[in-house]
Amino acid sequence: MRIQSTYPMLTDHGGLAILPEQHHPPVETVTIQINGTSISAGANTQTFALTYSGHKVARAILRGPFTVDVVGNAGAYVVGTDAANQSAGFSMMPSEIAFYPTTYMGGYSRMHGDTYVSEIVFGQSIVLKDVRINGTNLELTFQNLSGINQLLYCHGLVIVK
Amino acid sequence: MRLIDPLEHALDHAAYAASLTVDQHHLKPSNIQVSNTSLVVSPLPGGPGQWDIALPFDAQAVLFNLRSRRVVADGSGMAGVTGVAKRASAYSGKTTTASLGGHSALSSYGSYNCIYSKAASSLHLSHKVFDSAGDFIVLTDAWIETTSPTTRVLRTWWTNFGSTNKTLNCWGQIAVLG
Repeated sequence: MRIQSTYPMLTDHGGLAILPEQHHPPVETVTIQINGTSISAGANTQTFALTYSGHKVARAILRGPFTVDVVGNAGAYVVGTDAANQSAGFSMMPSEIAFYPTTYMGGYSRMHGDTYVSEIVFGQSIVLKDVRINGTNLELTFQNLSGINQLLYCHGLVIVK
Repeated sequence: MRLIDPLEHALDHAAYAASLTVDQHHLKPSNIQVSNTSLVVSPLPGGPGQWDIALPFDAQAVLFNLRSRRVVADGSGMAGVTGVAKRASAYSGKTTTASLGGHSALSSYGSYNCIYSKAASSLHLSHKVFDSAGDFIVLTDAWIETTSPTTRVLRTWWTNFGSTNKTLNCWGQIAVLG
């Protein structure tokens, strides 16, 4: 006699034998809401607890406090990994030319030696330095480029898998 | 008596033993091509127009890329939006729990690129590019909604800033991340 399991996960790998290192954890989402946290000069890592370990990729869409023209905000779209200094993405910030209000969008890659992965969009003198999965934590490292405390603003959604 | 199936990946759910729920299950990534050129959206104070995109029931997060028919500046690309969406609370459209961002561009005045986040109470998630003229309809919200005990959708809301009815013009891909 054989009783069929009702658990859906038993079929999801199509009959393949899965080694522990091949396993993929459930996708997780992290809502980021940092609204004026004072950070000191230099690098500051904000840590967000995850439920599962083993995640490999993080997709982060984050905005800062500065308005672009009349809609939306300056921010960054960054893909991070489970290692430090491997993140890459693009960041947009408003033009300083008021009479021609376009925006600038630039690409960054820590893997190729860029120091940061965003423009100064997360507060006065604050850039995003790295997005990293570290065990069961998601880490967003910001850099306060000034010599004094600054207020950090960052809102968005990060999906890790 | 209860027999357990031979586990094909025995280690991965060991921590949950037999108590694994649908919400804890992980889904393989998949892609869904989408388009809508028929949804009529009433102008404010009407609307929003609603477009439900069917997803696998296990879907917990998606990456979406949607483009309009609005040409960007001198190139041939179209204005659009990229974003991520997660589940809202089951069985009700709680938009405050959905958070996402995107970028888009508008040709007439150069290029605008920006981020929107429902976590920061953004009213909308794109520029007014998603109607046939590319001037009036914005993506207002998107979240994963459980619509029955066995069905789930990416629910999108669209707002018409014109003065007459407008028809949605949108093409793209929904990547179900898991």
